[in-house]
Amino acid sequence: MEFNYIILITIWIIGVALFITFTPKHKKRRLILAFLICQAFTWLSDLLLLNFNLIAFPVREFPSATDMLVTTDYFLYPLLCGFYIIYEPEQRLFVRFIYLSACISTLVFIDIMISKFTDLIEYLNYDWYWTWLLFLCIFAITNIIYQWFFRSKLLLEAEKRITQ
Amino acid sequence: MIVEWKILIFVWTLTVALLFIIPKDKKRLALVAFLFKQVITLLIGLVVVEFNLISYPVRLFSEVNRASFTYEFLVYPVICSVFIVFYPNYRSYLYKLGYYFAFCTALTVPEIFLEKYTDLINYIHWSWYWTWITLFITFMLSRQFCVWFFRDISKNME
Repeated sequence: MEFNYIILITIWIIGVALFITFTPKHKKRRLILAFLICQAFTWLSDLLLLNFNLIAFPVREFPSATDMLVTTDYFLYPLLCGFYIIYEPEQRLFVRFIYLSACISTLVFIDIMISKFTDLIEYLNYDWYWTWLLFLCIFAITNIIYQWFFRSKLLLEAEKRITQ
Repeated sequence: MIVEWKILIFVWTLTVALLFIIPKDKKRLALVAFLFKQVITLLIGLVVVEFNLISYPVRLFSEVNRASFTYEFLVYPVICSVFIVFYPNYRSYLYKLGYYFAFCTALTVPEIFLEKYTDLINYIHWSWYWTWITLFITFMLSRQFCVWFFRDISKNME
């Protein structure tokens, strides 16, 4: 099998393994919520980046249906966002920003490695610091929406009524 | 401007307007239903195009995406939100089944017309009843997911 596909499968296996081992049981739904919020943004930003020819995914899962790459942008990066959210320290804003930067740097490092050693991601008119900025925004917005979601537990009463 | 683009603009406007009928106290439920449905439609949407079952000749982001962005990213998830927040939780099984039937039919009928008279969607190896069945199944999955999600989430917040 081709090297690129081995990488894709490896990403899925590692991702699922990370999800199973590093998600505390009581925070599973929180991670999933962050994952869901994040994927909506990566989906949209991906289409825009592709549309303006900034980035390309030469080898991908659905080559005739789309130019997007599903494995990283709809699985791996939203999953990282989920981990970022559930492990965020309850500290001052400055500490949280440092923590966010560290998470984004890890993500960008993975992205650079994939683009360097495989044909999965190719930067056209693009650079790693754009990835850094883009994901900083996406993670920060996801965090804001997430915090809003859990602002008050009284607000969840209506939801409980209709689903239980 | 060709009629397909007019329809797309109309659909976008209508869908955004639909957001305003969602009750204020159920915003969170609507959000979860919307996002979960997006994940499903993204994958199924890509699969049906990849295997040549459906094509969307006129579409947004046509250069880079052969699936329907409008339907998968916005329209169907928003309708799913509406479905979930007005779900008749305390009614009989028959009433609930009728509720499912009404939503699936209300989405399938316009699609048949769009397929017949416009270039927005084209069935290649597909039929209207597949649309109906996949709608039914995905509505059910979303409902189950929301029930599962909100069952423990409030307990975990203690």
